[in-house]
Amino acid sequence: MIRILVDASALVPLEVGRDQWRARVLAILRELTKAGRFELVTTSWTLYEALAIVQRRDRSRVAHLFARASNLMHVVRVGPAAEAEALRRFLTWADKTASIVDHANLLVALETGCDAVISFDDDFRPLVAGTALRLVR
Amino acid sequence: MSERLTVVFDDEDLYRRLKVTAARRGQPAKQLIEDAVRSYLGEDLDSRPPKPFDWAQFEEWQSEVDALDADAGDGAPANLSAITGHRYEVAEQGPALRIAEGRTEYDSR
Repeated sequence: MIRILVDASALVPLEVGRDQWRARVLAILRELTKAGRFELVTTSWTLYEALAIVQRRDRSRVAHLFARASNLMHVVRVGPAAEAEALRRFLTWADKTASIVDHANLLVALETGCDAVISFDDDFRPLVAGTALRLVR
Repeated sequence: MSERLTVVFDDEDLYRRLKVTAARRGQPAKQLIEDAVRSYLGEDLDSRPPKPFDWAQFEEWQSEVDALDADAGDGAPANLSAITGHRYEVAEQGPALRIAEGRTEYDSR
């Protein structure tokens, strides 16, 4: 079964209907569903990031996002090993604009055997380059 | 199948803390070590039951979002997925936002 990591830029539109990327995320998920079985993965850090962003719009929606995302996806906790490596990469890879969360997401995607990442954040593009992961957007 | 590993603790104080914590929790020390290694290495999705994407559940979620959005009105910001901008509070016209999200026009339909 194909395994796909969902970045916060793709997670937020699932809870905020007016978000600019919602139509695209829905189209991607529809295409994937037609193609066969797949599972969605996100990281605890990404989910918390999405919750914080949604909170800015409407505090009452965070529980809804948490419950729905947790049911629909595997939420993988970022372990200390991934955290340490993400921090190391963030501090030393001076040519990348990615955040620590982006680095951690990439590491988790690779460690959990993901095939692709759904992300609308261009900071993610150079991270994925050189890996077997496909960036879907 | 069980695998055996002998661990020599160079840090005696760490070993003492392990034993004290195990006794306090009523768990064998090996359980704490296993938990710690599992937590350190991160989760292995292949050992968990698969969670195939459930379109019906997803549609239900999105219907709820539509209903909640309709109740909320139009006053809220629409570009919440501009993650970099939110992380660093970069102004909408700033270079980080341009790099991260491009200049895609927002379509409210």
